[in-house]
Amino acid sequence: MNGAVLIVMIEDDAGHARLIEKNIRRAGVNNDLVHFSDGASGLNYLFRLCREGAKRASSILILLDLNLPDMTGVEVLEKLKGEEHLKRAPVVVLTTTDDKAEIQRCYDLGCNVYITKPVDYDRFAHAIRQLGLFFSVIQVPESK
Amino acid sequence: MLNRMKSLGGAKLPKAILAPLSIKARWEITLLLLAFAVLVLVVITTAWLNERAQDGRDRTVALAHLSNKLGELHLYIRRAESDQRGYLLTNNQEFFDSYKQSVNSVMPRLTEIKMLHGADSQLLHAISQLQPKLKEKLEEMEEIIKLFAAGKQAGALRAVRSGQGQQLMEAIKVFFDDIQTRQSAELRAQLAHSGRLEWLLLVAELCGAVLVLGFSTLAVILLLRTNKSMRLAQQELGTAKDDLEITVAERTEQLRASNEEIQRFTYIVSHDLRAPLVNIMGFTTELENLRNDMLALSAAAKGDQPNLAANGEDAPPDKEEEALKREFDEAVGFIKTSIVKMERLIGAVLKMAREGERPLRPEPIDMTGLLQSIAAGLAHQTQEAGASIVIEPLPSITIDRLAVEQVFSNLLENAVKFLRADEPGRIQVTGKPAGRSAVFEVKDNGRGIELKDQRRIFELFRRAGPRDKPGEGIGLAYVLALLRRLGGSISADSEPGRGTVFTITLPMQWSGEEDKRASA
Repeated sequence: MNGAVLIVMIEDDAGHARLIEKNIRRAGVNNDLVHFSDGASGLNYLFRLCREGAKRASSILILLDLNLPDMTGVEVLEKLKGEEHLKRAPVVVLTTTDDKAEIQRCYDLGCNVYITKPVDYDRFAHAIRQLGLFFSVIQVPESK
Repeated sequence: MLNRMKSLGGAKLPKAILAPLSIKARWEITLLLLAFAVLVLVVITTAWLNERAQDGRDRTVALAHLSNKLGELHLYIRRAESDQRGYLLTNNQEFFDSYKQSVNSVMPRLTEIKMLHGADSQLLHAISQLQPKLKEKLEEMEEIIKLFAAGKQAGALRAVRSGQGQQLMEAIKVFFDDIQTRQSAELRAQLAHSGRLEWLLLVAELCGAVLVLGFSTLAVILLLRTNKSMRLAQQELGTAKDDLEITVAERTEQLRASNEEIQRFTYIVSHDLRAPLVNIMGFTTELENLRNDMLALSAAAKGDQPNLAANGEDAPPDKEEEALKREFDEAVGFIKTSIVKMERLIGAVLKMAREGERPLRPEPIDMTGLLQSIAAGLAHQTQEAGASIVIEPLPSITIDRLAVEQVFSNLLENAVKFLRADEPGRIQVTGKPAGRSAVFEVKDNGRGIELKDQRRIFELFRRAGPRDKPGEGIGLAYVLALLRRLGGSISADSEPGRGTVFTITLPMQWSGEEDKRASA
């Protein structure tokens, strides 16, 4: 993933957001990262980004938590994959829920990766770091 | 039980079913007994009348016979006379023989009549008057014959012409006519009497028939009434049953709704509880990582120059620093272990909630085979603990395989875990059918459970006895929840220090209907 990719994190828990950010950085991922604590503001930003065009980052990667306060993560996912310009942006669902039905639902709706946040911090940190390494090798499509 | 039914269904059961023999019933029984008695009476009367009628008929026949015999007697005497006349006229031996035969029959016949009808005094009297006349006539005829036989035809004819024989015959005829008249009168009387009897008999039989019809009608009416009241009672029972079913359906619906709520609640709670745990765990670890930096900073703040030993290496660390490090580590250690424990508990609650949602599928299961495979799966633990598991032949039942597997896995794992130190563990699983259920027993000779704990162990997160083995106190609560869903039950009986027996009851044929309704 090249340095121009913008990571958009939609995560309502400030603590989780901070931990995720720390560990991504520790994995050596230095891309810009923006954080939104509810679905609406995240979506607004993303839609504005697409409409404003080339000035902003051409590639986006989304980190999405499902337990959002104003709408479910699944709704956000649906909207993202429904939007012409955003549907190719990779979505990594990163959430506490490990319900199988939920996982299936997300993949059905087009999420690219589903990760469950473990409570055990070592495993958590390890997972995020692996995610970071994953980011460093994947190709993220241009979102126009 | 009646009160409970009333409060459940709100319908009242008809009193007629419940009250002991009421007045109406007593009346009905009396009436029927009376009818029976009357019919018996009618039968006896008819039989008696029949006897009498039969007697009458016999008497009539006897009278007719007598008439007959008297007629015969008269005939013999007349024939004798005509034979005699014939002989006198023709001197034909045939006439003589016939005369002899007739004459010889007369007296015996008379004697016979006298004997048979000895009871009839009037007849005897009449006969006693007839008899000498007959004798006279016979003698007279005999004399004439003798005269004739002796060749004195003239004398014989003279005797005949004298008319004495004629007179005698006339007298005899009169006697006979008399007797016959009397007999006829008697016969007519007897016939009249018989007629009356027969008429009485007919009346009695008609009465009997009418009574039978009457009582039959009565019986039919009573029967119809009983039927009607029974049908009414059945209707009311049906209504009560319907009401009950409605109430049960309502309660099941309520149960299902509240079950659903509990499931969602458990699910939501466990996930919402997890999120903060992630933070606590994460930042505690971050704190650990910051520890050294913080301590170094505080040490530098204390003194301006670093502590250098004579040979240039770092000086031995500060005693205070060491103490602070230890206390810090201890605090963080406790925080971490508590979080780990909480995570496990939440995991257990989540697992139970999930299990409650899984749709159960009944299938026929070879229980012996299932238990044997569970025991085989525990081979490692049993070997380590020096225990043995024996599976006796078990009845096959139709039930959800996974649920039953989890129940018995749990119980057997516990049995292997909580053995006695001094005795090689021996665990036995037996089972037998009991009506519509199957009763299984998991018996061990382990450390046992105190009486006060024997119900507590089925509560979530509760354990009993010394805490020397790992576990969160989840297993038996989970087993109980599973068994509830399957329509079964479990109980524990134990002697501390000797062993424990868990008794598990399961339906032989689990249809899954109640569970479907409760969790649909």
